Amino acid sequence: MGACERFVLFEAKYGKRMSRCQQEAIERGKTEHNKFFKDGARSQSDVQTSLSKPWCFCASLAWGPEAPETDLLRRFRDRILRRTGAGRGLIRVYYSTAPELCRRLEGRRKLVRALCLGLKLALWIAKAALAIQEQKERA
Amino acid sequence: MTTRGFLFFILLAIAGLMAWKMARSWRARTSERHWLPKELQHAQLAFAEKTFRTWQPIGLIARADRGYRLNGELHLAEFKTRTHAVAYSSDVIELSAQRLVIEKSTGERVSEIGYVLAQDLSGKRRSVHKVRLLPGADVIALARRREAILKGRIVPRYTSSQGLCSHCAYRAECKPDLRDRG
Repeated sequence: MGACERFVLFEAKYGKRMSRCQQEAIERGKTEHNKFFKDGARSQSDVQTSLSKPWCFCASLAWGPEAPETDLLRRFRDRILRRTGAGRGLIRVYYSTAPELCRRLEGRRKLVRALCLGLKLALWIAKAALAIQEQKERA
Repeated sequence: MTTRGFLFFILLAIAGLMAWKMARSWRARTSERHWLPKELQHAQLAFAEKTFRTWQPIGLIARADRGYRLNGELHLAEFKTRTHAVAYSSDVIELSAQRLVIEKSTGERVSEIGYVLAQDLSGKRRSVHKVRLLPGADVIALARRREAILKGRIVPRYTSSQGLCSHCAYRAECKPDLRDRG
Protein backbone atom coordinates (compact mmCIF):
# COMPACT_ATOMS: atom_id res chain seq x y z
CA MET A 1 0.00 0.00 0.00
CA GLY A 2 2.91 2.35 0.68
CA ALA A 3 4.31 1.76 -2.82
CA CYS A 4 1.27 1.98 -5.11
CA GLU A 5 -2.45 1.52 -4.43
CA ARG A 6 -3.22 0.77 -8.09
CA PHE A 7 -0.67 -2.06 -7.97
CA VAL A 8 -2.60 -3.61 -5.07
CA LEU A 9 -5.79 -3.56 -7.16
CA PHE A 10 -4.22 -4.96 -10.33
CA GLU A 11 -2.39 -7.70 -8.48
CA ALA A 12 -5.69 -8.87 -6.96
CA LYS A 13 -7.48 -8.57 -10.32
CA TYR A 14 -4.90 -10.13 -12.66
CA GLY A 15 -2.83 -12.23 -10.32
CA LYS A 16 0.81 -11.83 -9.30
CA ARG A 17 2.85 -10.65 -12.22
CA MET A 18 6.44 -9.59 -12.08
CA SER A 19 8.83 -8.02 -14.52
CA ARG A 20 12.09 -9.87 -15.11
CA CYS A 21 14.13 -7.49 -12.99
CA GLN A 22 11.58 -7.77 -10.18
CA GLN A 23 11.83 -11.59 -10.32
CA GLU A 24 15.63 -11.40 -10.16
CA ALA A 25 15.44 -8.96 -7.26
CA ILE A 26 13.09 -11.30 -5.38
CA GLU A 27 15.35 -14.33 -5.89
CA ARG A 28 18.35 -12.33 -4.73
CA GLY A 29 16.39 -11.08 -1.74
CA LYS A 30 15.33 -14.63 -0.76
CA THR A 31 18.95 -15.87 -0.81
CA GLU A 32 20.17 -12.96 1.29
CA HIS A 33 17.21 -13.28 3.69
CA ASN A 34 18.07 -16.91 4.21
CA LYS A 35 21.69 -16.02 5.03
CA PHE A 36 20.51 -13.27 7.37
CA PHE A 37 18.19 -15.69 9.15
CA LYS A 38 20.95 -18.31 9.55
CA ASP A 39 23.30 -15.66 10.98
CA GLY A 40 20.69 -14.78 13.57
CA ALA A 41 19.92 -18.41 14.43
CA ARG A 42 23.63 -19.22 14.80
CA SER A 43 24.36 -16.16 16.94
CA GLN A 44 21.74 -17.33 19.43
CA SER A 45 20.63 -20.94 19.43
CA ASP A 46 17.40 -20.43 21.41
CA VAL A 47 15.95 -17.77 19.10
CA GLN A 48 12.23 -18.22 18.31
CA THR A 49 11.37 -18.74 14.67
CA SER A 50 8.62 -20.01 12.39
CA LEU A 51 11.15 -21.56 10.04
CA SER A 52 12.51 -25.03 10.66
CA LYS A 53 15.75 -25.18 12.60
CA PRO A 54 18.18 -28.06 12.44
CA TRP A 55 17.45 -28.92 16.08
CA CYS A 56 14.14 -29.81 17.71
CA PHE A 57 12.77 -29.15 21.16
CA CYS A 58 10.55 -31.18 23.40
CA ALA A 59 7.39 -29.06 23.36
CA SER A 60 7.61 -28.66 19.55
CA LEU A 61 8.00 -32.42 19.28
CA ALA A 62 5.02 -33.12 21.57
CA TRP A 63 2.60 -30.44 20.32
CA GLY A 64 4.12 -28.71 17.29
CA PRO A 65 6.22 -25.52 17.00
CA GLU A 66 3.19 -23.18 16.63
CA ALA A 67 0.96 -24.81 19.29
CA PRO A 68 -0.37 -22.58 22.10
CA GLU A 69 1.27 -24.90 24.66
CA THR A 70 4.68 -24.43 23.03
CA ASP A 71 4.10 -20.68 22.96
CA LEU A 72 3.17 -20.63 26.65
CA LEU A 73 6.37 -22.45 27.61
CA ARG A 74 8.38 -19.96 25.51
CA ARG A 75 6.73 -17.05 27.33
CA PHE A 76 7.53 -18.72 30.64
CA ARG A 77 11.17 -19.04 29.51
CA ASP A 78 11.38 -15.39 28.36
CA ARG A 79 9.39 -13.65 31.13
CA ILE A 80 10.23 -15.79 34.17
CA LEU A 81 13.32 -17.97 33.73
CA ARG A 82 15.53 -15.45 31.90
CA ARG A 83 15.23 -12.93 34.74
CA THR A 84 17.23 -15.00 37.25
CA GLY A 85 20.65 -16.64 37.21
CA ALA A 86 19.15 -20.00 38.21
CA GLY A 87 16.56 -19.67 35.45
CA ARG A 88 19.21 -18.91 32.83
CA GLY A 89 21.23 -21.91 34.08
CA LEU A 90 18.18 -24.12 33.65
CA ILE A 91 17.71 -22.81 30.10
CA ARG A 92 21.36 -23.63 29.30
CA VAL A 93 20.98 -27.19 30.65
CA TYR A 94 17.76 -27.64 28.69
CA TYR A 95 19.26 -26.49 25.38
CA SER A 96 22.29 -28.67 25.82
CA THR A 97 20.25 -31.85 26.49
CA ALA A 98 16.90 -31.35 24.69
CA PRO A 99 18.09 -31.68 21.05
CA GLU A 100 19.60 -35.12 21.68
CA LEU A 101 16.55 -36.23 23.70
CA CYS A 102 14.19 -35.13 20.92
CA ARG A 103 16.26 -36.94 18.30
CA ARG A 104 15.92 -40.17 20.30
CA LEU A 105 12.17 -39.71 20.83
CA GLU A 106 11.26 -38.78 17.26
CA GLY A 107 8.92 -41.37 15.77
CA ARG A 108 8.39 -43.19 19.11
CA ARG A 109 4.75 -42.43 19.80
CA LYS A 110 4.49 -44.05 23.24
CA LEU A 111 7.55 -42.22 24.53
CA VAL A 112 6.33 -38.92 23.07
CA ARG A 113 3.00 -39.49 24.90
CA ALA A 114 4.95 -40.02 28.14
CA LEU A 115 6.87 -36.81 27.38
CA CYS A 116 3.53 -34.99 26.96
CA LEU A 117 2.50 -36.02 30.50
CA GLY A 118 5.72 -34.61 31.91
CA LEU A 119 5.32 -31.45 29.85
CA LYS A 120 1.74 -31.02 31.10
CA LEU A 121 3.15 -30.61 34.61
CA ALA A 122 5.66 -28.06 33.27
CA LEU A 123 2.76 -26.31 31.49
CA TRP A 124 0.75 -26.14 34.74
CA ILE A 125 3.75 -24.60 36.55
CA ALA A 126 4.37 -22.17 33.67
CA LYS A 127 0.71 -21.03 33.63
CA ALA A 128 0.71 -20.43 37.38
CA ALA A 129 4.03 -18.56 37.30
CA LEU A 130 2.91 -16.33 34.39
CA ALA A 131 -0.40 -15.58 36.11
CA ILE A 132 1.43 -14.51 39.31
CA GLN A 133 3.86 -12.41 37.24
CA GLU A 134 1.02 -10.68 35.40
CA GLN A 135 -0.76 -9.92 38.70
CA LYS A 136 2.46 -8.42 40.11
CA GLU A 137 2.89 -6.24 36.97
CA ARG A 138 -0.69 -4.98 37.21
CA ALA A 139 -0.33 -4.11 40.93
CA MET B 1 45.57 -48.12 12.49
CA THR B 2 45.37 -49.29 16.11
CA THR B 3 42.19 -48.95 18.20
CA ARG B 4 43.84 -46.19 20.23
CA GLY B 5 44.79 -44.33 17.06
CA PHE B 6 41.27 -44.73 15.69
CA LEU B 7 39.72 -43.36 18.92
CA PHE B 8 42.19 -40.49 18.91
CA PHE B 9 41.19 -39.69 15.33
CA ILE B 10 37.45 -39.74 16.27
CA LEU B 11 38.08 -37.41 19.24
CA LEU B 12 40.09 -35.08 17.03
CA ALA B 13 37.27 -35.04 14.45
CA ILE B 14 34.68 -34.24 17.17
CA ALA B 15 36.92 -31.51 18.62
CA GLY B 16 37.38 -30.09 15.11
CA LEU B 17 33.63 -30.12 14.47
CA MET B 18 32.91 -28.40 17.81
CA ALA B 19 35.61 -25.80 17.12
CA TRP B 20 34.13 -25.17 13.66
CA LYS B 21 30.61 -24.76 15.13
CA MET B 22 31.89 -22.40 17.82
CA ALA B 23 33.80 -20.36 15.24
CA ARG B 24 30.68 -20.15 13.07
CA SER B 25 28.56 -19.06 16.01
CA TRP B 26 31.21 -16.48 17.05
CA ARG B 27 31.37 -15.17 13.46
CA ALA B 28 27.58 -14.82 13.38
CA ARG B 29 27.56 -12.96 16.72
CA THR B 30 30.42 -10.66 15.61
CA SER B 31 28.74 -9.87 12.28
CA GLU B 32 25.59 -8.94 14.25
CA ARG B 33 27.55 -6.47 16.38
CA HIS B 34 28.92 -4.75 13.26
CA TRP B 35 25.57 -3.64 11.94
CA LEU B 36 23.43 -3.37 15.09
CA PRO B 37 22.93 0.26 16.09
CA LYS B 38 24.57 1.39 19.36
CA GLU B 39 21.33 1.35 21.33
CA LEU B 40 20.75 -2.35 20.49
CA GLN B 41 24.27 -3.64 21.12
CA HIS B 42 23.20 -5.19 24.45
CA ALA B 43 19.79 -6.33 23.24
CA GLN B 44 18.97 -10.00 22.94
CA LEU B 45 17.69 -11.50 19.72
CA ALA B 46 14.18 -12.63 20.67
CA PHE B 47 12.98 -13.99 17.33
CA ALA B 48 13.96 -14.29 13.65
CA GLU B 49 11.56 -14.98 10.77
CA LYS B 50 8.64 -15.51 13.14
CA THR B 51 5.01 -15.34 12.06
CA PHE B 52 2.45 -13.64 14.25
CA ARG B 53 -1.32 -13.52 13.82
CA THR B 54 -4.13 -11.49 15.29
CA TRP B 55 -7.85 -11.38 14.62
CA GLN B 56 -8.69 -8.29 16.65
CA PRO B 57 -9.52 -5.59 15.74
CA ILE B 58 -8.93 -6.92 12.19
CA GLY B 59 -7.37 -10.10 10.83
CA LEU B 60 -3.67 -9.52 10.23
CA ILE B 61 -0.70 -11.79 9.76
CA ALA B 62 2.91 -10.63 9.84
CA ARG B 63 6.32 -12.25 9.70
CA ALA B 64 9.06 -10.29 11.43
CA ASP B 65 12.64 -10.58 10.18
CA ARG B 66 14.13 -9.84 13.59
CA GLY B 67 12.94 -8.79 17.02
CA TYR B 68 15.37 -7.68 19.73
CA ARG B 69 14.45 -7.49 23.40
CA LEU B 70 15.95 -4.76 25.57
CA ASN B 71 14.68 -3.61 28.98
CA GLY B 72 11.38 -5.42 28.51
CA GLU B 73 10.67 -3.84 25.12
CA LEU B 74 10.87 -5.38 21.65
CA HIS B 75 12.63 -3.59 18.79
CA LEU B 76 11.87 -4.68 15.25
CA ALA B 77 14.31 -4.85 12.36
CA GLU B 78 13.51 -5.48 8.70
CA PHE B 79 16.14 -6.70 6.24
CA LYS B 80 16.10 -5.48 2.63
CA THR B 81 18.41 -5.95 -0.34
CA ARG B 82 18.31 -2.92 -2.63
CA THR B 83 20.33 -0.70 -4.92
CA HIS B 84 19.88 2.44 -2.82
CA ALA B 85 20.62 2.59 0.88
CA VAL B 86 17.28 4.06 1.90
CA ALA B 87 14.16 3.18 3.85
CA TYR B 88 10.85 3.59 2.02
CA SER B 89 7.39 4.33 3.31
CA SER B 90 6.43 0.72 2.47
CA ASP B 91 9.08 -0.42 4.99
CA VAL B 92 7.51 1.81 7.64
CA ILE B 93 4.08 0.34 6.91
CA GLU B 94 5.46 -3.21 7.03
CA LEU B 95 7.19 -2.66 10.38
CA SER B 96 4.18 -0.81 11.79
CA ALA B 97 1.89 -3.73 10.86
CA GLN B 98 4.33 -6.16 12.52
CA ARG B 99 4.32 -3.99 15.63
CA LEU B 100 0.52 -4.00 15.84
CA VAL B 101 0.23 -7.76 15.28
CA ILE B 102 2.97 -8.61 17.81
CA GLU B 103 1.51 -6.32 20.49
CA LYS B 104 -1.99 -7.75 20.01
CA SER B 105 -0.92 -11.40 19.87
CA THR B 106 1.73 -11.47 22.62
CA GLY B 107 0.85 -8.54 24.87
CA GLU B 108 4.49 -7.44 24.74
CA ARG B 109 5.46 -3.80 24.32
CA VAL B 110 7.04 -3.01 20.94
CA SER B 111 9.08 0.14 20.40
CA GLU B 112 7.73 2.83 18.06
CA ILE B 113 11.22 3.02 16.58
CA GLY B 114 11.98 0.36 13.99
CA TYR B 115 15.10 -0.38 11.96
CA VAL B 116 15.49 -1.02 8.26
CA LEU B 117 18.70 -2.82 7.43
CA ALA B 118 19.44 -2.13 3.77
CA GLN B 119 22.07 -4.30 2.13
CA ASP B 120 23.51 -3.41 -1.27
CA LEU B 121 23.37 -5.83 -4.18
CA SER B 122 26.97 -6.96 -3.74
CA GLY B 123 26.10 -8.07 -0.19
CA LYS B 124 29.12 -6.22 1.20
CA ARG B 125 27.62 -3.01 2.53
CA ARG B 126 24.83 -2.63 5.07
CA SER B 127 23.23 0.54 6.34
CA VAL B 128 20.80 0.85 9.21
CA HIS B 129 17.91 3.32 9.01
CA LYS B 130 15.91 4.26 12.06
CA VAL B 131 12.23 4.87 11.30
CA ARG B 132 9.31 6.02 13.41
CA LEU B 133 6.46 3.55 13.13
CA LEU B 134 2.83 4.40 12.54
CA PRO B 135 0.34 4.16 15.41
CA GLY B 136 -1.92 1.10 15.44
CA ALA B 137 -4.95 3.15 14.37
CA ASP B 138 -3.15 4.22 11.17
CA VAL B 139 -2.26 0.62 10.34
CA ILE B 140 -5.87 -0.41 10.79
CA ALA B 141 -7.04 2.50 8.63
CA LEU B 142 -4.61 1.42 5.88
CA ALA B 143 -5.80 -2.18 6.07
CA ARG B 144 -9.40 -1.02 5.81
CA ARG B 145 -8.53 1.25 2.88
CA ARG B 146 -6.89 -1.70 1.13
CA GLU B 147 -10.04 -3.73 1.67
CA ALA B 148 -12.16 -0.89 0.27
CA ILE B 149 -9.92 -0.64 -2.82
CA LEU B 150 -10.19 -4.37 -3.46
CA LYS B 151 -13.99 -4.24 -3.12
CA GLY B 152 -14.14 -1.31 -5.56
CA ARG B 153 -15.50 1.16 -2.99
CA ILE B 154 -12.53 3.56 -3.32
CA VAL B 155 -10.57 4.64 -6.40
CA PRO B 156 -6.90 3.79 -5.79
CA ARG B 157 -4.30 6.52 -6.05
CA TYR B 158 -1.39 6.56 -8.51
CA THR B 159 2.10 6.27 -7.10
CA SER B 160 4.30 9.37 -6.98
CA SER B 161 7.38 7.31 -7.89
CA GLN B 162 8.28 7.48 -11.61
CA GLY B 163 10.78 4.67 -11.15
CA LEU B 164 8.18 2.29 -9.77
CA CYS B 165 5.77 3.17 -12.55
CA SER B 166 8.23 2.66 -15.39
CA HIS B 167 9.14 -0.89 -14.23
CA CYS B 168 5.65 -1.99 -13.24
CA ALA B 169 4.33 -5.25 -14.70
CA TYR B 170 0.77 -3.79 -14.85
CA ARG B 171 1.68 -0.68 -16.81
CA ALA B 172 -0.43 -1.67 -19.81
CA GLU B 173 -3.58 -2.09 -17.69
CA CYS B 174 -2.89 0.94 -15.50
CA LYS B 175 -2.14 3.42 -18.35
CA PRO B 176 -0.40 6.04 -16.13
CA ASP B 177 0.20 8.30 -19.16
CA LEU B 178 -3.54 8.97 -19.39
CA ARG B 179 -3.48 10.38 -15.83
CA ASP B 180 -0.90 13.00 -16.89
CA ARG B 181 -3.08 14.07 -19.81
CA GLY B 182 -5.94 14.67 -17.36
